[in-house]
Amino acid sequence: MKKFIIDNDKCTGCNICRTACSTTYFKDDMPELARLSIFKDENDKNKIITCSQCNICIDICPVNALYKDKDDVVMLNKELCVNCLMCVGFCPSGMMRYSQKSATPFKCVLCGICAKNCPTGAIVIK
Amino acid sequence: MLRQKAIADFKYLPTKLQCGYADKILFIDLDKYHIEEKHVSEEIKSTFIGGKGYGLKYLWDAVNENTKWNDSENEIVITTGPLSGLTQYPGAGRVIATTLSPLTEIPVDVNTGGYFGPYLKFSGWDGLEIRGKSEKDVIIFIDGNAGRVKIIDASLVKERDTHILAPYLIDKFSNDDNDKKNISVLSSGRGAEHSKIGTINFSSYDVKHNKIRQRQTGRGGMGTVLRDKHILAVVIKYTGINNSLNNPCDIHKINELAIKLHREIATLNEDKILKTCGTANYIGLMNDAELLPVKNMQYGSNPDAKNIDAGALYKKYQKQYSTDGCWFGCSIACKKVIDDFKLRTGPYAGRKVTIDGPDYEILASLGANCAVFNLEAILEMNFYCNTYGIDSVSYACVMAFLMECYERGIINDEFTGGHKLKFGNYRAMLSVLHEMADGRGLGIVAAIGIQGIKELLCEEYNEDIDFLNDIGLVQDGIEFGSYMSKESLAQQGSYGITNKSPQHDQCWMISMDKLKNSIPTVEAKAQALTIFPIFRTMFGIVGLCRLPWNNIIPLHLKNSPKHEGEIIKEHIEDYCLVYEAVTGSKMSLKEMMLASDRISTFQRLFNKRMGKGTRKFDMLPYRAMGPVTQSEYLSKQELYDAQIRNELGMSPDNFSLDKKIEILRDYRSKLYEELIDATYKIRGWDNNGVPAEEKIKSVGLGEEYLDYIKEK
Repeated sequence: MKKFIIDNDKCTGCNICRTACSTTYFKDDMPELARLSIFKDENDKNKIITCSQCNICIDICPVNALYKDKDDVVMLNKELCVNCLMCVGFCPSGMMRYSQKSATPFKCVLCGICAKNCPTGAIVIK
Repeated sequence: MLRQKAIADFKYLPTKLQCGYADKILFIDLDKYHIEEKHVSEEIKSTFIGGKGYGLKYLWDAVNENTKWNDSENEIVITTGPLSGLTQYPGAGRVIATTLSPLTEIPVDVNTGGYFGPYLKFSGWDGLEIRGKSEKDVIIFIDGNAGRVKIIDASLVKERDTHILAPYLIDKFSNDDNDKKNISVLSSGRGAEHSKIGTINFSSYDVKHNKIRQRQTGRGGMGTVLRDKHILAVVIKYTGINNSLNNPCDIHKINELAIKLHREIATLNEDKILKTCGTANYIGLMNDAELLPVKNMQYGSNPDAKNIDAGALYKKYQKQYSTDGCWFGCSIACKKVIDDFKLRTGPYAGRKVTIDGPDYEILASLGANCAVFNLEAILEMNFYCNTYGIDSVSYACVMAFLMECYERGIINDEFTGGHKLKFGNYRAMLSVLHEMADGRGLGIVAAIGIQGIKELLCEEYNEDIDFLNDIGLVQDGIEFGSYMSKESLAQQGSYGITNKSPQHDQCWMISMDKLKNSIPTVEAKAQALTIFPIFRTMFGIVGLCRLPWNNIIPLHLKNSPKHEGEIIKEHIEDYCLVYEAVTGSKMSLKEMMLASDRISTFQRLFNKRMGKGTRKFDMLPYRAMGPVTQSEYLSKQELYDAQIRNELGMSPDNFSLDKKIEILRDYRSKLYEELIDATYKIRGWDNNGVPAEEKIKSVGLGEEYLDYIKEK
């Protein structure tokens, strides 16, 4: 079972992780296409948001296109997906993403690109 | 067993939709076993838009003034709107079925959900138009990918009841288990063969729960027409669903608006009531407000209603699935289901079945209105009504009427065939239901509906027709829906001043009028009775469900008292934007209302053409307007006395009980006439309820329709 270990105190908000993610999957440096996000909390501290593998999207999917793989990571079977976008609307962390550049919704698959590129060790995958 | 050889076999090139339209109608003539393609003209498209508009127009062209429901000319027209089938937008799995009703002989249209409409559209058809009557039972099979339509001899298929027939056909026409979701079946049941209150079931395979689930066309006897045409089923198959099959002009705009609506549905607590219980939660609301129909609408509440409310239902049976939508992507998820319900009566006693629903109307009609406060009995009746293809609301209303007649001694054991039809006797109700399916016993009588039973009791048994007219909750031939309109003048108008008899599809005023008291004057009620039927017509035209419109509250209005308003402006603006994004045509709310008014006016004219659609057909049985009997008056004496005192300036203490009933009746009848006058005026209809010439022209209907407003 793989999961994120996030240390928000180490995050500088440099967005290198998001650039790495979007460049890998969309060949485009657009942080809004990344499968994780960073925002400032009420104390002006950086907070990294990632998929929590909470199952809500799996539950809402009407065609069983979403499932958990052997590492307990939520994955999308694009062949089954009917693009209803309910998973996007119902994801509590906003980490099931939608973009004009993708035919189907997309999400983090815990590939580790972000962790590898994080210069401060704020993101680690174990 | 299905014969392999088709009676008719039609090949076509499936059309790729353009901006929500195929611009083609599939036409089938069962008299000649002939299949052809009809092109939808630009004129029809611009005037009638789609869905309900197309259904009424094609039916209008098919029939004449003398056509009866069981004539060959009468059609079943099944149509979609340009938005039907969007997987991403909540409430878009809609299909509209239109026919001349066996109960009213005027058009009835039903907006229902499921996979059938979208599959029809994606197969390259904006509609399916079926005329004629086959000599033997047939199945119509449409393969939307292969471009093939077949009429198949089904005379050897013995199954009739939907819960057996639909799985059989889904198995038969699918390649394997994964293929089942690509098939939808339209069928009815044995009950529709023996009654005028038959309904059509739209069945689809729910891949999430490995169950076949159904939606009904509900009111108006459409299943009766289906079986009269000897259509056993229409099976449609389409593979390859995604959210761009409507080929919309701006899919990303639709996606953005869809995600916004999904988020609103996901995050608002108020709406989770719908998600958890469907509309069943209205039982408690209506009972508390004394608006729940009890004992043939004599009374408005009952302490035992708690036994059949949403809490009881959810606690005992209903599972909360997140994917209870009738079409992919409908996150409203109101289509509740009960699994593994063990039947106790009838031909399937002992079997465990899946039951769709029950929603508010089912619980209120089969339950409270018949004084059945027993969930198991309601569920069993609901199951059998559906599988037999019987409209459960009409059936319940008929039974409530018969029960009151029985308790008052109007009918006796000889008439009922020994059934002790006392209120609450669900065993007797179930027996009559099984008799109706078999076409025997009291089931034969119940099958003709309240209008027919009243005439029978008057002609054959010399019963007092005036009293029967007062207590028989039927208008123009269709039984009432399940809201107690007695204390709500606006709801009376919702049921009475309507194009298709007393059902709340076109207008539902009881909440505004009685729960929120936001339309206190006759003028305000008349205004609402003009705006809402026109506005609600829009959903059936474009192919949407109305539930998301005012049951969901935009995020930024979550804590605002403004959301109490019935029209949530932001959603309406979004509908205009979605329509534009699909069709490429900009449509303001004003233009949308004009288009809806055109269809609504056209339907009124259609009714007039068929000999109805005038003032006298907008009248209601008095039970829907006020207390008919002493016991009804006494149950709300304080309220009724206060109305006599405060609104008529008379002292109720000076009058006998019967006199007070008479005074109140005169007053309430006049109020209803005032409401009709005010509504007709705003709608642009003359004093007889016929659309005026200026009205017809102003909504954009051509001069050819002016002939139909003349007296004949």
